[in-house]
Amino acid sequence: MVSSSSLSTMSNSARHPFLTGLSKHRGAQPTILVIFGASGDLTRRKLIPALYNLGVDNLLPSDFKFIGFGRKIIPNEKFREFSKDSIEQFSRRSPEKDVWSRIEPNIEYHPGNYDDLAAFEALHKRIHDIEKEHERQFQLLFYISTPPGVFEPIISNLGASKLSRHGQSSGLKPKVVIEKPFGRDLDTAKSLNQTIRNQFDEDQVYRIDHYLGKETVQDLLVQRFANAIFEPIWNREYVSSVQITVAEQLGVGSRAGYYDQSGALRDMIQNHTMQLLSLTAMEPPVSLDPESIRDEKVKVLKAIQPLDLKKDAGDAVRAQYREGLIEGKRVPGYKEEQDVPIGSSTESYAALRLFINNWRWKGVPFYLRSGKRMARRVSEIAIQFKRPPGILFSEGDRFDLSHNVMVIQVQPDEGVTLLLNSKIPGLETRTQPVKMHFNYSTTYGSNTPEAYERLILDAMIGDSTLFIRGDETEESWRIITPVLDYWKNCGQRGLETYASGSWGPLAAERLLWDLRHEWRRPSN
Amino acid sequence: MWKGEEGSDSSAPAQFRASQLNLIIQIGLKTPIAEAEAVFATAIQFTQKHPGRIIILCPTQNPEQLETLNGKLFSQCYIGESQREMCCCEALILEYSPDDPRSLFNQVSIWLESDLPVYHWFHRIPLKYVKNRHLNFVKNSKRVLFDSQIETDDYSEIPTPDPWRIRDLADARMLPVKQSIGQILSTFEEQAIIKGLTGIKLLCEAEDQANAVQLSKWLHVCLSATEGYSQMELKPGIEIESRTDPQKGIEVIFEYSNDQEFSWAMSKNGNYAYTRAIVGGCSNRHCITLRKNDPETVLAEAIFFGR
Repeated sequence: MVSSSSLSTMSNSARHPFLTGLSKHRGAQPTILVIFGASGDLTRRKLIPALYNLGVDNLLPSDFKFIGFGRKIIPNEKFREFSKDSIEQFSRRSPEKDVWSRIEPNIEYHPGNYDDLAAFEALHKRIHDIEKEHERQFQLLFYISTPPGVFEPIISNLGASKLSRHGQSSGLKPKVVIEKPFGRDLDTAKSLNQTIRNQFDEDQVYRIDHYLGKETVQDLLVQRFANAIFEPIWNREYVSSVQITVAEQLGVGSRAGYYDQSGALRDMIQNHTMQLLSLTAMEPPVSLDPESIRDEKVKVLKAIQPLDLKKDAGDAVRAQYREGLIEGKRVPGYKEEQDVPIGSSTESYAALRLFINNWRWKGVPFYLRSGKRMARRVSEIAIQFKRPPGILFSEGDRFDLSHNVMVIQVQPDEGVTLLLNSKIPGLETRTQPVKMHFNYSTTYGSNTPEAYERLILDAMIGDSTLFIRGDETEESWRIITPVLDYWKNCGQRGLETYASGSWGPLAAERLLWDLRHEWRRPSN
Repeated sequence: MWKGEEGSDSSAPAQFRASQLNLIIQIGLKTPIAEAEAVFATAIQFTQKHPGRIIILCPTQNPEQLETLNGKLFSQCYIGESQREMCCCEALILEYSPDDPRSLFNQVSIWLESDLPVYHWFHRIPLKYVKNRHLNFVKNSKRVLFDSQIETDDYSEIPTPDPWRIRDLADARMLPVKQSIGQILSTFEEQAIIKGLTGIKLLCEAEDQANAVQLSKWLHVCLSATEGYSQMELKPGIEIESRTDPQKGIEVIFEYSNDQEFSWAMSKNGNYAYTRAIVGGCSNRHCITLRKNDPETVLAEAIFFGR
């Protein structure tokens, strides 16, 4: 058996000397990754391809095992075939035989029900056997990629089977990665956090929001704090409003059964959009260590004032898509989609107007919206600046002055655009807005890693910067839960509709009228 | 051409002429043709992932016949499977006279893409020429690259206030080896590793000598950072020995005065490493897959990382 005294404890601040000169991403400990929900869509489309690409880049630990855990009974060979197919279909880089030949023997499948303690104990035994074969201890990384209804039994069984404490005495604390949704409201999020805390310490928990793994989202902090020109104007003196849009063209498709229990506010706004808001609005952290950054994100969420939920003049609008045209093709409305219950009042679109009560942002509206079947798929943050004082260029018929806008496009076509006013060439002085554009793919080529590659590797090396802390998720629910409760009580009352292929309901425009703002229509 | 599926990134292709850096490669007169072609191929492969402008300086064999700076333009577009994988790279190949370096820097400067960093790779340029004729290139480059596996001169002697800007490709080439050794050793308590350690031996073929030197420097830095090392009365030395072995490439052996052992040996083809450790009461053996970095990845590592 491996001696527990043979392993060193590694903290972020004290790297092992024999990792000197290697970036933190090259020092991952020997790891056994157990994915719960191994035959699911996320595993197939994102997680396995991410592991493969980490292997291509030599970033997987020297000893790495992947165990799929699921309810179906799948022989190891079949699961390896499943994994290979997923790489061939979804990997951003073509499969290479030698990389696959290294990874394949280390993949296996462990069947079991999530509420069956015996299955977890059998898993624990298998892990012990692997460690015995390799004569070393492994770090355990549990990835919960299942429907949310089974999060709690999985976590409880990880505790009851002692998997959550495996290797702790030797300094290799197991880690657990949990996919969204993290709770359905504030109470369930708190309850889930408590369940987790009963089995894991907070520093073992990695709540994932894959948006944080996207390059442009990570770039947001660099744009804000590595350039001297933005921070002095990133406040209420110069910013007129901030719009955050997470729009999809897709409808609910075959996911209506799940989606109808959720809605746009839970599915997108509570997590992705709020993450984008906190990164946009946070104060500069005192350092780049994970806790400093997460502290600032929590702080700004705490400063968001409760939403006004008056019927006609409130801060929240919801709607369902009706039939319309998407890319020239007719598509059904939400209520006509398969598996959508009759009389459903689930919103496929939600828009909020938020205000942050702090020195930096007092009085600046943050407009958030997300929806399905919108005009195009786009996720962006648009910071609209105030107009210059009307001293020069004030004649409206001669000078078409636009607000300066900085747009951070998260997807597709990651990049940053700055809208400026410029003189139109000619004898007269006339102005026109022009775009300065930086596009990731045309500047850096196509070698940007996928979000899940970054996130899985960060979890392996213990960097929690791009993961959500327990208090952070509770703060986000604190803001959203009253809206959910209000809408639930209203039933169908106040539920608007919008045509598929449009930018949302007319009622959402009302949120911006008071301050004479308009929703953007993001284009290609 | 790339019609997107529903829900995929189906926006129109954007401009594909990307550029994020300038790479100047200065080829020495004694460079064999095949080697020069390999360097050129490396640069082209590199710019497929890191779009940039390449300028290759080739010395003329007949300087007396060269009245002007001759140039050729090489252009290649790489078309991948999606619109995002299309990028074009350009290489400007300039023929210059080694006897007249004064105008070379100025001539090259007009071809560089402004505001972007410049990286300069000296390949078989004698160190005395770098010092006497080409210091302007050194001063104006973000990093200067050389390969100690090829060069006989010690480029770390280039006068510069920032010695860390001089990067050895051999050091970057050893990254997978360092990573492999580091990942294994980092699972042991650091004090256990140096307990009873009397020396470290690196065994290699003659052609791997430069790589072994880089590895030994890294091991020395790691040892120096190990808790307890500075208190050791007799500090373990690191020796490099040439040997020929049909089965093995570079081999690292930690020698102990006690029962401890650690060895790491690369297979001849570089695809595997065999390790054996008895450290801190723990015993294990492994066969680990190694993945050597291809030349363009080595170049990227030297250009962008490390310090």
